[in-house]
Amino acid sequence: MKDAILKTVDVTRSFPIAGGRHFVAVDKVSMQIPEGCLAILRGRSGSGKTTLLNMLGALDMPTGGGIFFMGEDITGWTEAKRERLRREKIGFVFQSVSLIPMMTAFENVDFALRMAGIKKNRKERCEECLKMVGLGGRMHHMPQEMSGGEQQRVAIARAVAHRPSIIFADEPTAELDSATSINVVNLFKEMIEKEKVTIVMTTHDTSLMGAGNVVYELEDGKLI
Amino acid sequence: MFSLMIHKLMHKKWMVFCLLIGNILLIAVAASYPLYRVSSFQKMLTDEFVQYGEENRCWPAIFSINNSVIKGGGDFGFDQIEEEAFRVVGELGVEVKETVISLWLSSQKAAVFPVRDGETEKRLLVMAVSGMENHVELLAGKFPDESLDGDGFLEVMVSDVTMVGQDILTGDEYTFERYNFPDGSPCKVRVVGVYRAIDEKEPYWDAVADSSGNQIIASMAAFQNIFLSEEAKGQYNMSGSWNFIWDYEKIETSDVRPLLHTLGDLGRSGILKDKISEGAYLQILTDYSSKANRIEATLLILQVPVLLLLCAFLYMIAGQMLQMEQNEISLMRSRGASKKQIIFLYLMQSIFLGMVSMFVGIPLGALFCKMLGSSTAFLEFSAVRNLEIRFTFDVILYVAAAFLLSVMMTTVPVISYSRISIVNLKQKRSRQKKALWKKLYLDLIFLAVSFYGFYSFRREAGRMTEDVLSGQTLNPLLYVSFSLFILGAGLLCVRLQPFLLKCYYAVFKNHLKPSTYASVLGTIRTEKKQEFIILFMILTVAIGISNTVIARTIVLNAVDNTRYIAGADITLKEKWSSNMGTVMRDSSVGLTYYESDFGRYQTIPGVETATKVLVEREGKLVDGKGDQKVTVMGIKASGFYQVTTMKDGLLPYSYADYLNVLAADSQAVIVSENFMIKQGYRLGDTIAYQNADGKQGVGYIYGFFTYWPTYKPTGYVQGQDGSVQVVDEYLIVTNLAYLQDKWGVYPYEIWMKVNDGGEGFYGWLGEQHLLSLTQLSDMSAEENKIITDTMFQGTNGILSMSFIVILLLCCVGYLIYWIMSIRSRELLFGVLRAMGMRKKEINWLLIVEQICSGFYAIVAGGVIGILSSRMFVPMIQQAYAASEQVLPLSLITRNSDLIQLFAIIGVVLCICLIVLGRIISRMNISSALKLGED
Repeated sequence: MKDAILKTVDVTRSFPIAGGRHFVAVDKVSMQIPEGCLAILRGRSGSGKTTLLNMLGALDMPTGGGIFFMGEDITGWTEAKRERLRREKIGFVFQSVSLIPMMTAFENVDFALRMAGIKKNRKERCEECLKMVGLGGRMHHMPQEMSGGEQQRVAIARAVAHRPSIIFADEPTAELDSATSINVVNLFKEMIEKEKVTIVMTTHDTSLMGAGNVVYELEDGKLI
Repeated sequence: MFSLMIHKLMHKKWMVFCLLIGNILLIAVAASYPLYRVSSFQKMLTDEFVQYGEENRCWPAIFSINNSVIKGGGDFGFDQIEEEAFRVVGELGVEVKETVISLWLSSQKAAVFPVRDGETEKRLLVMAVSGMENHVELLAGKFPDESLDGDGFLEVMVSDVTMVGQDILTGDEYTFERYNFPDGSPCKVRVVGVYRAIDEKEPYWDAVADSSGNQIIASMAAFQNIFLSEEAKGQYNMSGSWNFIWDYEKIETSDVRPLLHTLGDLGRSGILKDKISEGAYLQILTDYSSKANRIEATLLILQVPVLLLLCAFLYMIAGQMLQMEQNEISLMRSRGASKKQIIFLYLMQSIFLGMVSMFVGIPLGALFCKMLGSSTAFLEFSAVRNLEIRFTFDVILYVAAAFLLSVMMTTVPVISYSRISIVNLKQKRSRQKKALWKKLYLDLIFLAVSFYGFYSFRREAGRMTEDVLSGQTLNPLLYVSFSLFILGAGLLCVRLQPFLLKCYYAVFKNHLKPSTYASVLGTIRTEKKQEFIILFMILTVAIGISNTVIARTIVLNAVDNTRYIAGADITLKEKWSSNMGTVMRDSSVGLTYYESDFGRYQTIPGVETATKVLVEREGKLVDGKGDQKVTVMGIKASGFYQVTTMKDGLLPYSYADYLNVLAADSQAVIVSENFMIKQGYRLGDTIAYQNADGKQGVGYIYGFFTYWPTYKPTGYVQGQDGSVQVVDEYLIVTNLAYLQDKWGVYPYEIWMKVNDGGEGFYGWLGEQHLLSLTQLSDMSAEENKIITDTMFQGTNGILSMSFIVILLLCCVGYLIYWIMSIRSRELLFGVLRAMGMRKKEINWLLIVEQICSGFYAIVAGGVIGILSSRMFVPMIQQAYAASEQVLPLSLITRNSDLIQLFAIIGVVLCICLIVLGRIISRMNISSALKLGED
């Protein structure tokens, strides 16, 4: 097995609720995600998989435990440091439509490059990424002129464009039909192949399980 | 249905709040106008009467009917006329303070007994005046009896003045040669008393019929019993005068028009034909009426922009609310609600909100009215003046109209929305249409029309002044052009905004920070959404600036002009004693005035300097050509310079230079420019002139001027037909010492500069019981008159009120727009944050958006405001022209005004930004992204 790009040790996330008690969404999860794999976090609604993913993606901070990204514990990092990490090393694909509505497909991808501070060869890279997701011919369309599957593919192109080390995808197929879902997963595998990227995705769809190199299953915030 | 509506409203608190604000302001503005009109016009009407009364020293409102019968004539009887007079006065409906009836026999010779100084007969006039007992005190004797005394004498009394003037004493008896009593016996009268008016200033004395000072007063009852009896008919030359003293303070402004109408018809036919004498009140009422019309039209026009903006605001908010409720409407439609039901639901909502707004709007309108009444300049209010608030039927009418307008504005957009079902809603969303005005190029059309208006009005500028002076309203199309210019230019800027951004984007797109990039691109791509708010802000700023400029310009020009015409802080002329009596008896004696003590004026506390100014208005030019009327002014150069001021730019050389050349040569004169232009005089020419008494003077022309303190180059003379004619006025200024040397001493004016607002002077004046002034003018009082003039004050007030209302609207509209815009983009901000954008960058993104829209709008509005003021204010100003306007009108922009204006707008924007910033900082990425568990 390759080195783990991401490792968690007893990661816990609890939210204060009424009566001074705490609701534990993620409970002492320890796991390792090797570089260059497609990792799948599975679980029903409310199992805590999105909360876990947010913490992995440096969007949210754990209340306990540690998260090691490329060997460094990111839990103690400042907001600014985590923002930088997100800009440069991480890509996101969200469940619902997450494209910037007033930008074309091309501009959306380009924007990720701008965010990462990349100045050279942006045009070529954008075109390359969009072609990779099969949208070479629709580059200058606005998001609202595309179907849900197409939009999600743009989102994937955007997530990968700035050559992140890892991509987090939160239920990327939730709003798509099963054929399109399989396409998206295949696209992920292609990305891993071509772009040497690691992808972590959550899903509740059991039919996609087989595609993952690593599968973790969550129930009530605990790995099972 | 009602509970559904309430439920619906509770869920849209922000929108409802905006609608309420719009509605409340609309109703308040609508209510303030009639409120202000009625109370300020009432004051104006009363002031007109008071002013006439003070100037003419008489009661200005006496309705008077006169009738005479001649001996043997077959005219109507007096009692019929009296009855008709009372009926007519009742019909006119003006409250009568007192009715004074005078009856008299034409004056006749009467034999005197006892004879004094050889005077055997006098011409006397037997008269009776009603109510005299209440207004006189007896100096001697008693009041005349109501019937003949035991010796068959009619008892009479005389005034102290008549007593002295006619040499009449109590106990004197007079027997008329031509008059007999009706029974044929000779008419004999006996003087039984001497009276004096208790207070000659009472209006009663203005209502007593005039006579030549030889009247002897009988009791009214006796006069009527004897001379108006059945058997007396046709025996006497008799006159009667029925005078009704009107209480002009009780004349309501709303009565004026019907009163004028009735008065116009009176006396054309019937018993009173040709018997009603035209009183001063008629001119006062007519003047008031035309002035009121002019002011009313002007003030109404000034309100139009704010009313239109209010309607647009309501329309916009209602539209936005509907957009939010589109889903609900289409859902209701799909579930079978009819179009009518949906419209009804919204109609009910509009009516409900309108009613609620009235509770706040009407009191707010009253507050606005007070504000209008206390405005002294643009956005300046002084609490000193307080207008009495009077609710009239008009108020209800205006409020009802505003209410209907608001209901219409908020319900009309529903009609198009009510057609949508869920299916065509989805279809509609995918299209983005170009706005209608853009397709029709309304911006360019508006601009073209306004330019046309601008040029055609500028060509006719001269005629407009004449129109205004002859009482007409300034052409409303001028205001329309003015408004169209602002609107057209505003729309053009809205059209240009995305274009400019696109240019910027095209040039810099590869060098922009990600946040700036996202912001600029976002603004370009969502142009349509922002159009309205940008237009709104542009209009706010543009209207704010032009309102400031209009208000400042009209008031300051009028004030400058008043100062110029007044000449000095206080000018007065004393009544000097003279040897007039001797001159009358012996024409060989020359007229000599006895100069009063000038020195005392210089010692009055508060008076800085005083100077003598001789003004001979009846002078003539001695040039052998004719008798050109000129005014000759004799001054002491140094004193004159200290007391008067001249605004820069009115004279080609410095004011001091003119006075210096005058001081250097005692025979130097400086004359008005028209001597050069119309009469052909040149520098160095000799000019000869004379005063009203024919005394001559000669001077050498050292200079020409266009303006000189108090000098009006042209005067307006109103012809009989109401047309205004322009005549030239000539002025010669020379040294007082020279004139006094040549003409002798004539009464001169005293011009003073005071440093305490005249307080010391008036204190001093109050103690001078023997001083009699023939002329007194006070510059600060005149200035105050302008500031409190209904036309100026109303203009200032309405412009200020409009600005405040527009600013409020803009602020509310701006906030609601951005709150909605941010709320609808929460997801987007979440995505941006997830992609690693810092909070600071998100804030920067919003700031760039504000620069692209708000800042752009402020700059554009500023430019449009300044341009429109430069173009139109000089013309609009002519609506305020007075026949006394002498100085060239100048456009006045005060930097402090603009700074104040931008400071207010800046504060409003900052508040908006702080509110928006708080919303942003509270936003949570994960919840924005809906990343939590569903």
